[in-house]
Amino acid sequence: MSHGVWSPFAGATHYEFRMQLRRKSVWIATFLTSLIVFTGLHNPWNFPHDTALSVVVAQWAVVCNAFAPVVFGVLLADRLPRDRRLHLPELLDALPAPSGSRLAGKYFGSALATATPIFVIYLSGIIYILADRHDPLAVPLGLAAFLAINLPGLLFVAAFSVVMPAILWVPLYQFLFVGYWFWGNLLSPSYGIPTISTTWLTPLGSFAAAGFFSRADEIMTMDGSTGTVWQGAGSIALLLASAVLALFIAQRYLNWQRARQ
Amino acid sequence: MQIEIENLTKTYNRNVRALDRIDLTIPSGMFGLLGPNGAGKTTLMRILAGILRPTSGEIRVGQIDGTTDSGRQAIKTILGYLPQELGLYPDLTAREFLDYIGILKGLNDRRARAQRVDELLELVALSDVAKRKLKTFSGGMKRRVGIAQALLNDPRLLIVDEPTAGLDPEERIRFRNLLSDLGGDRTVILSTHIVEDIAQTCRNLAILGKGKLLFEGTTANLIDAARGKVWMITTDGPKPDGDLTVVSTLHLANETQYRVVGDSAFIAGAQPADPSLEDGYIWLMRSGRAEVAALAG
Repeated sequence: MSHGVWSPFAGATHYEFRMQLRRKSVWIATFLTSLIVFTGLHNPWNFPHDTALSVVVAQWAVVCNAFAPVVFGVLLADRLPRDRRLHLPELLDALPAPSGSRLAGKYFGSALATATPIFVIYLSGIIYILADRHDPLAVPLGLAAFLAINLPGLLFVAAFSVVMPAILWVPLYQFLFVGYWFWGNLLSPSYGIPTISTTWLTPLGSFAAAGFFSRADEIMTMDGSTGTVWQGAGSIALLLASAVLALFIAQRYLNWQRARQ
Repeated sequence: MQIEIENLTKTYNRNVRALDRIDLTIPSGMFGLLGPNGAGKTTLMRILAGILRPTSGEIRVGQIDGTTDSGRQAIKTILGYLPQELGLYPDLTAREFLDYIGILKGLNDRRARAQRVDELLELVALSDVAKRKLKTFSGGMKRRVGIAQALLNDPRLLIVDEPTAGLDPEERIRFRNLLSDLGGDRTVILSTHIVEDIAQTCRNLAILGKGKLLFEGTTANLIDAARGKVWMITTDGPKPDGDLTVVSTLHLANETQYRVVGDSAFIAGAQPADPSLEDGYIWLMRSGRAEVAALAG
C-alpha cells in the first residue's frame, strides 16, 4: 500500500467527476441557461461572413462565458456541505489519504463534470461555425478559445464555489455569488457604480479573448473591455493563482477546524 | 496488537468533558466497549481512529504513539473504521464506492484493488447487487458495505461503532458472527450500548459512563459482579417496588414475572436467578461504581 498525494487526488477527481456528471440538475440547469445564450446578439449566426474566424470563435466563447458560469457556480456550491450532510467526513477523515488531495480532487472532478454540459453547448456553436464556414481551423481555434477564455474563469469560479460554503450557508453563498457575477462581470463602469468588471480579475475571459484571438477593436466583449496578449496572459494567471490561493486557504481552514474539534 | 491508553482526557469547547482520565488496556481479539448514550464511547473511538485529538493523555497502538500527528497517520494505515453514522455516496454503486475508498486507503494497484473489492463483496453477501446504486440499499445492506470498506486494507485494528443499530435480528446475528470471525487475528473494538452484542462476541470489555471508566475486565467478571443480586419475582399484584431495577417483564396467563436486580432479601417470593451480562451491566450502573470497578480490578 502506498499513501502518496497523487493517487488519492486522481481517485477523488475520478469519482467526484462521476457523481457530479450523474446529477440531472447539472444538465437541466445548464441547458435552460443556454436558452439565454442562444437568444443573444453575438452568436455565430449573427456575424457577417467576412468577419474573421478567430473573432467569431472568440466571441462565441465570451458569450458562453457570460451566463453559463452563474449556473456553474451555483451547482458547485453544495459539494462540500453535501459530504457533511451525508456524514462522510468521519469516514473519510479516518483514511490515510491526505485531506488536501481529497479537496483538490473534489474541486477538479466536480468542476470538470459541471463544465461538461457547458462544453457541449459551446461545441454545438463551434460545429455550427465549422459547417457555416467550411473551415476546419474552427475546431483547433474553438478548443484553444475554450481553454484560454472559458476554462480559467470556470476554474476561478469553481474554487470559490467549492470552498466558500465551508464558512457560508449554501443558499446565501449562491445568492451572493449571482449578485457578484452581475456586478463584477457584466456591469459597465459607465453606470457610475464601482465594479471590477474591467479588471484582470474578471472571469469572463474578455482580456484573453481580446488579447489572443482578435485585434482589440474588433471584439465585442460583454463588458466592453479590450486587451493585449500580455493582459490576456496576466488575467489568466491572476484567475488561476486566485483559485489556487482560495483552495490553499480553505485547506488550511478545514485542517484548523478538524484540529480544534 | 495491544492498545494502551493512559490518563486520556478529552474536553470539548465550553468545558464539556467527554472523557475523564481514562486508563485502559485493550488486548488483541474482540473487545467490547459498553455504556449508555453520551458515555464517551464515540469520542474514544474517534480518538483511536485519529479523527479527534485528545486534550491530554497517552495512546499507544502496538508500537505507534497515537498522540502525535505522524502516529495518527500511521494508525490510519492499519485501521479499519466503521463509524456510528455511516456516510455513503448515494449515487455510486457498491463496487464504485469500495473502489474509491480503496484508492483513499492506498490500494493503488487497480487489478489487486478490484480483486479485493470482489472478495469483500462476496464476504458481506453483496456480490449480486454490486452494480446497484447505494441509494437503493436497505440499512442492513449499507452496514455491510460499511464493514466491507473497513476491511479493504486488511486492517490490524478494526473499530466499529454501534454497528448493529437499526439492523433487524437476522442481520444483527449475521453481523455479530462476521465480527467474531474477524476478531480471530486482529484487534476489533466493538462499541455499543447493546449488551447482547458484547455478550455474544467479546471476552474482554470496558464500560464507560459520563466519560469515566466504570469497569475493565472480562465478561465473566462483570457477570460475577451481579451474582446474588438477580431475582425472579412472579406476582399477580402490583409491580415490585423498593430499591430494584426491573430488567425484564413477562406477562403470563394470570401473573406477571419480573426479573429484577437489587438487594432483594426483603422481597417475599423472590427467587434467585443466575446473572447474565445484562444483569451485570445493570448492577454496575446502579450500584456504587467505584466499588465494582475495584472489584473487577
